[in-house]
Amino acid sequence: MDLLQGTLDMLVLKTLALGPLHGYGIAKAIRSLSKEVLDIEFGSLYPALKRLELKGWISAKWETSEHNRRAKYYRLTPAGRKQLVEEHSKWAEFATAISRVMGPAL
Amino acid sequence: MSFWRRLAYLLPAFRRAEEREMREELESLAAIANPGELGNLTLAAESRREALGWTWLEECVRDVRYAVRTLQKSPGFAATAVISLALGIGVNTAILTFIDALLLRWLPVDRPQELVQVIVRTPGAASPRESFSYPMVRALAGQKEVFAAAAGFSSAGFNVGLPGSLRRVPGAWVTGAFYETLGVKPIAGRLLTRDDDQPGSPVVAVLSYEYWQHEFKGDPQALGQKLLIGGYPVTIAGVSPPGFTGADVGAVANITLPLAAMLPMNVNGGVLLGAGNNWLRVLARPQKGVSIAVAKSRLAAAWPQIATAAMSPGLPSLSRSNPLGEAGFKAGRNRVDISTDNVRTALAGSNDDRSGDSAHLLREHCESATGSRNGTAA
Repeated sequence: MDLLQGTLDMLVLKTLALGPLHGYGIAKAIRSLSKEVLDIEFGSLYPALKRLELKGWISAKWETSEHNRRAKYYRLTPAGRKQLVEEHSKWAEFATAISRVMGPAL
Repeated sequence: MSFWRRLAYLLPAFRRAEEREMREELESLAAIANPGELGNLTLAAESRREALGWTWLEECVRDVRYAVRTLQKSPGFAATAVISLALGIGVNTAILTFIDALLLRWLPVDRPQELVQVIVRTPGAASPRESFSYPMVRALAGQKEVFAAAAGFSSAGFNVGLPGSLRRVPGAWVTGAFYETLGVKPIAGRLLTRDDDQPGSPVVAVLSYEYWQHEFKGDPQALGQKLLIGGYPVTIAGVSPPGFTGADVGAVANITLPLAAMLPMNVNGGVLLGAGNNWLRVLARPQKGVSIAVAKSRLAAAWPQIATAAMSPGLPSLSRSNPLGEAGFKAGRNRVDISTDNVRTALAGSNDDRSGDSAHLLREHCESATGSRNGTAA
C-alpha cells in the first residue's frame, strides 16, 4: 500500500518512540506494526532518516546489535518527541475528519 | 542548526566523512537484511545526498564544467560569444557614461544651487525662449537690483592653427562676466573679465585644463602665447580649473573667447552681437538675499528697460527685429505681464537629486498680452 504524502516522517518518529532502531529495523518495525500492510521502501526511508536528523528530531549513533553486529542506531531526540506529539494530534484530527466525510461506502 | 550542518556538507572534508559514514551504514544494513530486501542501495544513497539539499549546486558545477569543455572544443564560437557580450556591455557602459555626463554631472562652480537660468515665455510661442541677444544679456547683467552677476554663453567650434593644419576645437563664446558669474577660479594665468568683453580690448582666450595639458603639456609658458584662431592671433590669458569644461553640460569647451572679440576677429562681421540674434543662454546669480520670487518681480518691473536696451543700436545688427519674437513687444506701448508662478527647478548643469546642488531655472513669463493690445487700440 502506498503511503500518504508526509506520513513517512510521522511513522518513523512513532516507531523510534518505542526504542532505538537501525535503518533496516525501522522498515521492519513499520511493516510488522502495520500487520504487513505498509511496506516501506528502503530507498525512501533512508533519505527520510537524513532529513529528520538534519531537522534535529532524531539522532544517530553507531552501536552493536543483539547479534553482535555494528549498525547505526537512530533514536528520538526531545525535539523529535515534541514533533511526534504534534503530528499525532494532527493525524488524529485528519483521520477523524476523513472518516466523517467517508462514512459507510454506500 | 540544520542550516550550518548542511553548509558544512559543502566542505570536502565533511562530505568525504558523510560519504564514508553512509557507505559503512549501508554495508552494515546490507549484512543484516535479507539479500535484495533493501532494494537499490545506490539509488537510496543518491536520494540521501539529495536530502542534504545541495544537488542543485552540484548540478550547477557540472553544467559549468560541461560548458567550459564545450567552449574549448569550438574556440571560434567561444571568442565570438565573448566578444559579443563584451561589446554589448561596453556599449551600455558608454551610454551610461554619456548619460551621466549629460544629466548627472554638475558644474564644478561656486555654489551651483544659487545659479539660475533665465528663460522667457512668450504667449503664442511653442516653447519658452532660452536664447537672448548679446545686448539683452548685457541689459540683464546690468540689473544690479536682481542679479549679482549674469552671463551669456553659447557653444562654438573654432578653427585653430595655420591654413593647411587647421584643427577644429570645441569652444564657447561668453560674455565678460561668465567666469565671475559661475565663480570659477583659474588654475593658471587669469580668466576672462568684463574688460575683455569691451570693444577694442585685446583678444584673449581661456583654455580648458584638459586642452592645456593635451596641447601644451601643461606648460606655464603657454600663457601669453598667441593661438591662431580663425586666422586671428589670440593671446592665451589663462586656464580654467580641471573638470570645468564650460557651462554646457555634456559639451566640452576647450577654448573660451569673449563675445566682443567677434568684431576684431571678424566672425560673420560681428552680426551675432546685434539685437536681432537671440542665441545666447543666460546663467545668472541673484543678489544676496534676493529670493527667486523677489528676483522675478523686480525683473518684471525692469523688463521694459531691458527690452529697450535690447532694441538700442550701437552694435551692428543683422536685422532690427523684435528680440522677444513674434508676439510683438515694444516697450512702453504694450503691457508687460510677468507672472510669478512659473519658477521651477530644472536641470542646468546639475541634477535635482543631488541635494540642493541643482541650479534653479528662473522662468519669466513675459506676456505682451492680447488684452493690452486691445487696450492700446482703445
